[in-house]
Amino acid sequence: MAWEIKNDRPVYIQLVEELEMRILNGTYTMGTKLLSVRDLASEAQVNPNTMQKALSELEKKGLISSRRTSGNYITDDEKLISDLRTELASFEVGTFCGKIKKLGITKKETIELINKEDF
Amino acid sequence: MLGKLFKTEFKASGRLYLPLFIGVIFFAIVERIMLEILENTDDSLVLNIVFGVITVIFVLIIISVCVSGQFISIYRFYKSVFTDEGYLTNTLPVKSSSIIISKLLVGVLYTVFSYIVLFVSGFIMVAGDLLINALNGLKISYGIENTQISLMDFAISSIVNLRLTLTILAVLIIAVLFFNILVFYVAFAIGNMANRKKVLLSIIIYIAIINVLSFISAGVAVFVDWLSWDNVLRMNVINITLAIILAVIVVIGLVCFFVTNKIIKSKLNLE
Amino acid sequence: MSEILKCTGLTKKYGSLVALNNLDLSVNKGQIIGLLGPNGSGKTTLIKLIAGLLKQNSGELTVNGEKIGINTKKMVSYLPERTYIPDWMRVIDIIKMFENFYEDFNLEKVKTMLDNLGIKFNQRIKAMSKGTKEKLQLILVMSREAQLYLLDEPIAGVDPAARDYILRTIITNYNPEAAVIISTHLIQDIETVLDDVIMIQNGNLKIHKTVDEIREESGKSVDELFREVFRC
Repeated sequence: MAWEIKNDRPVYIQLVEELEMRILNGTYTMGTKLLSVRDLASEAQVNPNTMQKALSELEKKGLISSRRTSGNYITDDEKLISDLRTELASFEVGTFCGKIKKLGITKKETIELINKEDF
Repeated sequence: MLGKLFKTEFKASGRLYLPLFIGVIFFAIVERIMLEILENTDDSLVLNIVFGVITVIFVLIIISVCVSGQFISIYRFYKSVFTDEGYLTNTLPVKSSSIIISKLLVGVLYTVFSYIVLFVSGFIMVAGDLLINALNGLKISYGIENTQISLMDFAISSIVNLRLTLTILAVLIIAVLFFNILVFYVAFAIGNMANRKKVLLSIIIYIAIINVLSFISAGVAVFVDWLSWDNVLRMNVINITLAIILAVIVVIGLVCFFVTNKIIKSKLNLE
Repeated sequence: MSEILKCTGLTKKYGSLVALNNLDLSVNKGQIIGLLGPNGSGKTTLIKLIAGLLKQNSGELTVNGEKIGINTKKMVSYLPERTYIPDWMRVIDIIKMFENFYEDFNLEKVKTMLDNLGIKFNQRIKAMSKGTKEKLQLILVMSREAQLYLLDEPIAGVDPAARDYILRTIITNYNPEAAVIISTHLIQDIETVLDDVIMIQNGNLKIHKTVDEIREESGKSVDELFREVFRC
């Protein structure tokens, strides 16, 4: 799985976003052990300290928990994950609706358009 | 660490010397066999030509061994300190003086080895009947007993203390072995400080140093000549001459060593 | 003490040319540092000073609190731009040499890494391609458990696959007790691997910041900033 680090923003923020996405969409399974910092850094070709910083950020959010001896584990708190997913989704929908509104398209038309989309 | 450096250098140099040494011994044996064949067969043009070719090769190898003693040592030093290999050599956790000493010792040792090999090859050539013949020939043509007597006479009359003379001479020979290599080392060290044509410059510097040294030795000769006006000193003139030469060589050798060390330590100019 | 490298007022001249001018610098353990600057900016001079190949004209330079000498050479693992392994050697010869002279050399590490690349112990250096020689040299340097790694232009002139290999090797050998200094003029390829960026120009320190600081402050990648700072 490719890690794409863009040029315009701090690396660690992009890592947080990518890791968060992978946890929320189930790429990293709930309750399982995460790769070591070094392996993750190697996979993403980023600095291990930066990866550690990103993981600490996720820990603050409660998405992963670190057990001192055995490494990092993905949270098994289903509610937290689904809440965050909803939160992220509604944020994206909000942005989307704002743009659609500007085009002068009605809600009904929009839903029809969405129904045509295949995903 | 000096031991490890010595061992490493001993192996690295051995790789270059060994084929030459083996070549000398091999050709000495071949020559000997050829000589035996020639002696026991009728004159044959083919055999004579083969013998001639082998002799030429043999002589060439002998010459290269004579020259290689110092040349290989200098090449090894230059290559591992001043070329790309210098990045490895000069970042080892060792003193720069240890690097110089290890290479110097190995150089002297192989020079001595090469003389031993030459001696052995000479012995192979004339061993057995031939050796006896050769000695007889020497006896007949030069009268070896007479020579010995006259040599003893000479020793007694002109050298006050033969043992002392021989000791100084032995030390001097060893010192010269070190000295010759050190002069090359310092020349290459100085040449390395230039930014272009380092090797050419090093050789020019070497020639310059040698010329300066010949001036110094001329000075020593004049000095000894002046000393020998004194009657007591004249008795000891050989010992004094040798001692002065030895002192000069040791002092200049040490200067070469310290200058080389200083340059490697703080003026290294790797590309 | 978490400081591994410290320069104060470090100055190096070649005749009248000033290669490093009164440089003040400090690097901490656990960091991967990019030493950036255009050609002739003094990057290699700084690295050679730290490796003990050159002596400064003035100023202080210490590794782990010690002045440059035998003790620092034991702690510093240096990858020069040049390939320095004698041609006549086999892989095993140079490995033995490292094992002999460096107490911190990890034989197991070297075996694993050579195995991964399919390099055999009895292979001759002379028969190797330039790329393989460079990889072997990197492996040797990274196989030491050193305190400070100095990598001078490790990714210049290598293909993308080799570059990825080099970066992976650096990351997987990361040790929080050691620091890595990588000099390069190809920033884009390595900037995500770095903690800090040190930019020098004409022997002067221009910038010393973390990659994310630069990105946050300028909204640009280090590479873009570099092009701006050093625009011709």
